[in-house]
Amino acid sequence: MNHSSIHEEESLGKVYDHSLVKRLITYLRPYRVKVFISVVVLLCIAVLEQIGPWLTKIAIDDHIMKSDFPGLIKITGYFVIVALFLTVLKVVQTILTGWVGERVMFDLRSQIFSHIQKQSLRFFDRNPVGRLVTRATSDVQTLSEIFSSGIVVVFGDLITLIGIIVAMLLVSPRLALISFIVIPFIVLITFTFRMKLRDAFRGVRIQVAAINSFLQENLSGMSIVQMFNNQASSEKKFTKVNADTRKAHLRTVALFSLFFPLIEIIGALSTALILLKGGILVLDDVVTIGVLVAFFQYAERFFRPIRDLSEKYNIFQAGMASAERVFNLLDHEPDITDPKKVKACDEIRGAIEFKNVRFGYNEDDEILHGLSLKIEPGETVALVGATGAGKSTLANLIGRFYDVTDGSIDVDGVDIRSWCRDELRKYLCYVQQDVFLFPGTIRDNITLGDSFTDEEIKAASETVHAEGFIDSLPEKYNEPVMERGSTFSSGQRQLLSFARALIRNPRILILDEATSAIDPETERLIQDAIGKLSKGRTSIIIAHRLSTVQKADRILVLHKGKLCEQGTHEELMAMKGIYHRLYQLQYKHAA
Amino acid sequence: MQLFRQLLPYYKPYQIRIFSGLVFILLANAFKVAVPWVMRDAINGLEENISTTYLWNSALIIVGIAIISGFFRFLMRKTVIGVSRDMEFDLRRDLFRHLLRLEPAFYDRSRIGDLMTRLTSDIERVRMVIGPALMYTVNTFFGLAFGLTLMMLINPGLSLYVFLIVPVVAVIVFVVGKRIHTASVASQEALSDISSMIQQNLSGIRVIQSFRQEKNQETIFEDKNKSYFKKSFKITVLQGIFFPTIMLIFGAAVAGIILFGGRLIIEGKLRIGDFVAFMTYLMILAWPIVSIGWVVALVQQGGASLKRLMKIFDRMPELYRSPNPSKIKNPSGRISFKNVTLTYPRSEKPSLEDVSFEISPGCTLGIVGRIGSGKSTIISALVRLYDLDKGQIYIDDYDINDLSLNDLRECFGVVPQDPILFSTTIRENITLGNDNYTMADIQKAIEISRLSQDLNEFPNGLDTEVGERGITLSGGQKQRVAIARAVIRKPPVIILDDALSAVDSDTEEKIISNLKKYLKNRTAIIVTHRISSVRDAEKIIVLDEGSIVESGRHDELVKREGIYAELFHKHLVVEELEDTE
Repeated sequence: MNHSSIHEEESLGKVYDHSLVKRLITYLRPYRVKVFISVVVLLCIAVLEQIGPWLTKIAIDDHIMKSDFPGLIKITGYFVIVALFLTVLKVVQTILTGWVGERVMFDLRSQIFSHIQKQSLRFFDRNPVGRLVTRATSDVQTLSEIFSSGIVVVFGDLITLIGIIVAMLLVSPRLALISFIVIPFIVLITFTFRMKLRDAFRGVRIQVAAINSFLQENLSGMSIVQMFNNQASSEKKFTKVNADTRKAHLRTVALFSLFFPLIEIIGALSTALILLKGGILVLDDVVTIGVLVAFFQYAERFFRPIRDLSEKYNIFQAGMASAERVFNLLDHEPDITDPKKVKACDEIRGAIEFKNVRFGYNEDDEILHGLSLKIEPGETVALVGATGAGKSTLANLIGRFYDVTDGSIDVDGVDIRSWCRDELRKYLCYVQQDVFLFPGTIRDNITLGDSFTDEEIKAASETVHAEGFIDSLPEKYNEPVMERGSTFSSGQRQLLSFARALIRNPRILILDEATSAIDPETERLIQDAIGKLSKGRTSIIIAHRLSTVQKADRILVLHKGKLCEQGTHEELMAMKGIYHRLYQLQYKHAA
Repeated sequence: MQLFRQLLPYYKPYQIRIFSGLVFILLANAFKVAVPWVMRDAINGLEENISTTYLWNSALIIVGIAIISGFFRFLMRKTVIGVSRDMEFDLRRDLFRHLLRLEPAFYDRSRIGDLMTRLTSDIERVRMVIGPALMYTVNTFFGLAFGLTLMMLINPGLSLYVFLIVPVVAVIVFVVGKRIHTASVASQEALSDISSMIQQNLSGIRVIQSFRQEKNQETIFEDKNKSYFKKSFKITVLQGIFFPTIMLIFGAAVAGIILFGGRLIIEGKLRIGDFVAFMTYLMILAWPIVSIGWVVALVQQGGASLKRLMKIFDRMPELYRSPNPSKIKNPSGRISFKNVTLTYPRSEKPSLEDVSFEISPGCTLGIVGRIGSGKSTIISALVRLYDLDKGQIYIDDYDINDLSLNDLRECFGVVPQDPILFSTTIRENITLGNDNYTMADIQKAIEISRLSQDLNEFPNGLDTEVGERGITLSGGQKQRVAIARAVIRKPPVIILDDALSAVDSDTEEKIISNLKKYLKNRTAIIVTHRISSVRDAEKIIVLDEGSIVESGRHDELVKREGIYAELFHKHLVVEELEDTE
């Protein structure tokens, strides 16, 4: 299993990676009709664009030179019609390809999002949220440039080039061949330039990565820099990175400064060649002036796509790097998967058994060392142990947020690995210590988007004593909840999370009691609510309060990843073992 | 525009280069517009059966002019864009220098990612305005001025007709440009909506998975995704209409020249060469005019970025700085707090309230208390990361506010809770780039911090790279590097701010006993929740909710049966539990 995280590093890779492009193309498949139409339109544009200079030639030779003004009007009319037609085609083409491009991004974002949803918690332990957000947003954006500014434009440019060459050959093969003399120069310059530019851009990317990591470290380590009076040295180092970055950029500036004028000079060279050879041909009456004018226009058009091609280089490179990162993420298979054959059941009793469970979040750091325990249906057990004893881990394993490394966990006598996780979690409810609220309303936070009637919501809130504070809110159940529920007290958030659990009437409840201090009145409400919540179902409570421990049917004492003691509070106190000591640590002053 | 005036000081050092850059643009354009002129004469000549030599000469002149124009274009780009890179360098240097002066109060409120964006993409966007946008604007100006003048010279009537398209294009660029801008703002908002949705979703992924909300979340995401799709597609549509329309206008101009120019030729008022020159000028001018639309977008983006930069430049360091600071000489390390109250910015409750205590030179002070009781705040107050609300702190006989921040911090060697390491070698992490330390100094520091043994295991010893944020080191190793970093400075006061949490109690005891020798003539402040670390301290203060609730030596405090005794008792139980198998 590959546990490595989805790396952030700027890959300094290739400009064109065939396997990546092939994979990207598969995203076009659903829209192949539109892609096909857009290619056809592109071809039409390439052909139509060459008609303008040709019409100019006819206008000059057949009408202007022959003083035929009515004919000239007709030709101008054709010219305008072609221009209009061309405009419409171009609009259609841009909008069509734009639509497909945006649509592919839409699909990719949705795919990434649902792919991330399927990952196990282990994945989230290893991949910072910010990085994943970047994958679904800016990386997708950069990647799409391969389509919109990359493939489409490059393809269009190539077709246009071919169109121009064909048009020139049709109008005057002799003049065309003369004009083509410059092509080897263009190829040579573009090729050399591309080689140099690749290195230059590579240098820029390395420097940009360097400046980013320098800033990341020094800004987050600013307190150290300041406490150790190290500003001067930090500034010196930054100046170096900054200067190196400038140097790398200046290399590309120099290259572009050289490239554009060179292409322009070659352009002028072709103009000069056409003027010379064409002029001689005109003087010899082999070609007409109109041909000459048409050629000037074709030559000018010839250089536009070439300039474009070289500018697309950087876009391609960045797009490929993003595509690679996105596909890496999509290739990361969830390390917990559902079995093919799924056990279906309508109702469960809620019996839980751990058989010799071994587990660690990291390979070399085992937390549960062969834990075995049994919880009867409908029983309320309190889980007790020192920090790091494995209480929360145990809770995580029941819902299959992580898979055990050895041993097994059964629910109703069936290994949970042969359940579909969705099915399993239908009967399970977690109440977390720090309650996570989503932006939305109170109602949204209770239903979480599932459908419950107002009566059910009200009843659940009432039972867990959340009704009181909700009714005092100006908008009651429609009161907006800010990001992370910051406008509510921790006690209120607790009660909301109880309502969230109760309304689902789970067979198994797993509750991590809050440790934070709460005013006595709310505390009483919470204690009472926990009692009601755990009634009639299997309940596992990670207990931090004495009253909870005392109310439990049974107390399980975890110590160093094993079940050490169990029994009622009195029995365990009498044993004078670990529970007795834990009691001194945790409950003595909290009672 | 008012906004960009703030950048004037940055232009200043480069004014000569900028000026010559502008001259280069002028010259490049002046030569460029000469090419169609030469073509015009040659083509006109064709009707008069000029010699082949004339054609040869014209061709050579065209290439010659193009080379000169190209040369100036090379200089123009190299100069103007080059200057913009220099200014970018200056701007970034100044911004970082400014950030070095801003204090924790600022960093508490800023996200590192945001600041990095300022220093990279925002500065880059501003550069696009001071470099490329300036270049293209001036280029368009000269191109239009020269091109239109020459066209006027050839035929004023036909030129006036061409002039017509300039305002039309300008209006379209302006109107559509504005709509594109509005649309892109809307799409940016939709995108940040998506980002924060993912952010929220991932932060609450446990709840989502345990309550089986994946499908619901996907539906919500689909909506937001769709809304973003629609908004960015709108930009595509606008752009898809914009560029072809501009090209259509140029097409109309060409059609006009064919029709009206053609009639003038038929009437004998215009020659065929003039006609060709006209067409060529129109082609030459097309790009500079269209580029204005692009420049408008650059200026809009650059303006927004510059505003964000200025927001940081406008933030001033807030800590009090004495106008004429006293000089402290060979501080002995006596420290006294007198009725100190400190409230963190944006917090309502003070984190320290009326705290007073004194440490004699060479003594060790232990600070214990629960999480959030204000232990670390004492350190923040002492090294002046935050200003006090009330009270004074003295080191020797100096009020710390009367010392320069530099001098004050020179007195302390702080080992913070989170041992931040930089991605360089262990050696550099200890010396922090200061070359004044000898090998013996370093050796001593790693002995005191018990790092020597670990170093032997590393392939390159002291020169081992620690990786980004010290990722290749264990938590305990990082903390020990941080200790070495503090002790090598031989400060009069050494501060351990819960600095040994990641090492086991055995190693901790060894480090502390090692430190004892080193601390003989130094004052030490040890913040901890492990009682064993402070047992031997000359003085221990116990904090609760920002106030000192108990103080004294270990034995005295245990006898008082207060918070300290309770913590001590718990400590014993924990030790006992740790030993139970």
